[in-house]
Amino acid sequence: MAYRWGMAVNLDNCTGCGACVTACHAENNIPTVGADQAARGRAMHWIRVERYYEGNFPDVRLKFRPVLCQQCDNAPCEAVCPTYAAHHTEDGLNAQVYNRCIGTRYCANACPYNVRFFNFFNPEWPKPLHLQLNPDVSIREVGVMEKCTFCVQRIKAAKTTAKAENRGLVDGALQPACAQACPTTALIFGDLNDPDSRVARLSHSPRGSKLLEDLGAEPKITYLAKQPWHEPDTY
Amino acid sequence: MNLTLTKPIADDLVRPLFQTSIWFYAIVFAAGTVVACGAAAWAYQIWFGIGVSGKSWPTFWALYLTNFVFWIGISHAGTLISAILRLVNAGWRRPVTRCAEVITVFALMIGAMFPIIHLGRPWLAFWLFPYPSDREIWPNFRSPLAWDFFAINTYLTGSLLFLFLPMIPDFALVRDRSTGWRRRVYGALALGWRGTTKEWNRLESAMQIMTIVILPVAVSVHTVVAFDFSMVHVPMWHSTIFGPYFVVGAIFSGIAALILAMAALRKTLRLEKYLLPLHFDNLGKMLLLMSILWGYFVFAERLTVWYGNEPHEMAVFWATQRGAYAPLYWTMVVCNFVMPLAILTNPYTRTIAGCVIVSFGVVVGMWIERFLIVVPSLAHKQLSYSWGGTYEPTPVELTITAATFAVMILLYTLFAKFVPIISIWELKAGLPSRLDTATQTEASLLATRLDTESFPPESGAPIRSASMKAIYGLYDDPHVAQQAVDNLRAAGVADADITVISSEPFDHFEFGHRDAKTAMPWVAVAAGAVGLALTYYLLGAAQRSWPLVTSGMPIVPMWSNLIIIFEMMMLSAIIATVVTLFVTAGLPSRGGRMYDREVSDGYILVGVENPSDGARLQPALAIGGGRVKTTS
Repeated sequence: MAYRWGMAVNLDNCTGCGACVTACHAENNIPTVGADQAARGRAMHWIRVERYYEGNFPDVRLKFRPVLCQQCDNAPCEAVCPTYAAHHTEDGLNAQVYNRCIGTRYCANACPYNVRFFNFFNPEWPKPLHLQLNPDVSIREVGVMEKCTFCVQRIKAAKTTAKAENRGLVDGALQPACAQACPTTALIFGDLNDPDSRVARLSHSPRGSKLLEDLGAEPKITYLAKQPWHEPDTY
Repeated sequence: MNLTLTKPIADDLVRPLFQTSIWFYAIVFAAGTVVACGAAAWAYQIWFGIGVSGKSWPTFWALYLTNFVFWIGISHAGTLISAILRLVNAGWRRPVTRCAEVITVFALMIGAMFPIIHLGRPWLAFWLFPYPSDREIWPNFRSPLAWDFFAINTYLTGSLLFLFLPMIPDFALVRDRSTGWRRRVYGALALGWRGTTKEWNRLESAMQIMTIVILPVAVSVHTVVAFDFSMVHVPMWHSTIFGPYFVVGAIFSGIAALILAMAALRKTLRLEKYLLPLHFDNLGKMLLLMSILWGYFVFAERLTVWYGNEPHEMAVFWATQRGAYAPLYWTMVVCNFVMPLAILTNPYTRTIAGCVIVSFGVVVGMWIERFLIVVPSLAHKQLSYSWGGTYEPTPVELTITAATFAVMILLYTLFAKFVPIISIWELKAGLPSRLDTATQTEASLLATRLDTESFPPESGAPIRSASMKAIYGLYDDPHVAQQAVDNLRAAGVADADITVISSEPFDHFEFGHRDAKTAMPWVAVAAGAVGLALTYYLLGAAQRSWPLVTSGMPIVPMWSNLIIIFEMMMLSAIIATVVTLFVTAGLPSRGGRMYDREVSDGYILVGVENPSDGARLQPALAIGGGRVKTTS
């Protein structure tokens, strides 16, 4: 049976530390565009931590929501690409083939989650960042769209190893960089086709919901709602 | 009768080709400079990356897509309007059609540049084209950008032919009046056109078929451009109204562009006798109608959004209505609705000047409209986290935008310099003596050019050396020509051997439609059917050859394939029509047939090639002041 990769995001656990963002940059060779370009809205973070403020000062509460590519089953970004750079793989991944991309940026417009990022210039890594590039991930040239791949290089490697050793994949043994780096295990990755996997069970949690579910894109990332907050009156 | 009317027309309209004013060089230099700046800006952008434009996350489309939609819209000036006027047989169309069709071709070329200019990697633009490549992968035919390719390809091909076909007789006329390099160039362009009744009949049949085919194609092109937006779930893009809304806006801006072009031509080429206040009045009325239609669509769109009150759509709604984009929005409303209504409803202000002022406003207003469709929505998509990206155009984008207007002026100026900008033969065919009485009053307006100073044609070497035997008469009155044809028949010449050559079609005379019977419409229908079947098969085969899944759609999705099948069906019909025209009319021909250069002065030639007994036919042709000539 084919794999169907998905993720559960436990919003209760997210502290907004940003470790996932940093890990993702390091793993996937995402360029840092510099302060000027970032100020123009060209920063590239395949995963971002959205911050929402509730209440009025001083009684303000902060909520976090990590948002990455939702790996939709009916991904709006795929059909609009004229060169099949965006398409669906057999594992249900929403793949982006950089070499096919000619940069129409149509996919980014079609994506309601705004999780696609464009190389407006050729990437540069200020020293010494150039020494830590991941050899397993290709770098993208100017004019190419990129986005979260669920660390497809890790998935490929794990599948190859498992096949060589003639066994299946163990739930939890394979993790994308963001989930691996999360200190509070807010990001849980796994195979949705395996009913016993943690992610499959969490996806059916009554706390679970999908982002912009009514658009019908059928995302594979489930957000687990925060539990009701109880004022700590006794310490 | 004939010559006094038609020769000055030809003289007037051919004059710009032979006389060059200093303004021509000034305009070409000025526009050329701006175009060169635009080319430099594009080169700069290719070298450093698309980041030199103002786009950012999440406003990934901006000025280039605005220009794309705007110019494709302007392209509806010509072919569509010209086709509508041809279809309803509006007599006043005759001086208007060509200057309109030229706008279509150039605007379409400019518009079609922008999907390439805006690419991140424009050097790979050919990956959008459907061809069996060594990458063994076809374009994704489910993408609206692939539909764009087919729609623009069909429309550009059709418009080019629609423009070129009626130019052939005029090229022949210029060929006959010129010497030297002009004679060679225009001779090649004229494809050996003589003006036999067969050629005229085929040309007119082809134009009728093209008129019918090009109308749905023109509508489909801007609908597909609208689909680029309405296919995706972006607030205020995802709307069923977009197809017709875009088409209406396109025709609207197209008429405005046409009025501006006609006013400029009228002044610079001294065409006051041909582009009459009547034309501006009629086009002004059409502009007013489209303005009201446009206002209706905008109101329908806005009311639906406002009443529906969906939060993410309301964000875009208020951004344009009251927010950062409000100044642009209300400028657009004034330019596109208030001004046309105020100026064009009043016959006293619906003058040439009034039409030009309104048209200028409409061109500006429609450009803003395209901008307001593209940009504000992208900055207000469903996730409020990504709201508020403000877009500011950079000098590179502004230079390229300015260059598109300059390139339009440049190409139009060059075209008007080298091609008669008003279709001479169509104008002549609309003269009072050629028409039935119902259209006489309208045509009498056109007859005011009798006092025109005559332009001396370049005296030149004799026409082609006809190495064949022929006897023919030259007549200036079509009634006498008809009599000559009847005399030849009475003298026992077979109808097929009688050749009638004229510089205009004579539909109201028997000799003018001797060859009118043609299977051309059936050929077009058959070719359309073949194109439909072939595209249906090839499209499915290409999609199955590498069955990649996108957006959970079927591998061969019939809904979206229908668009491409439609475009290819129409393209097949267009090409078959033109091929049939060329084959059955014997074009291009190498010459060596019976011809006389005086035909271009308005004489009608009636004669027989290789007569068995030429002398016997002499009395049949020597009638009514006709001059009989023989070649051997």
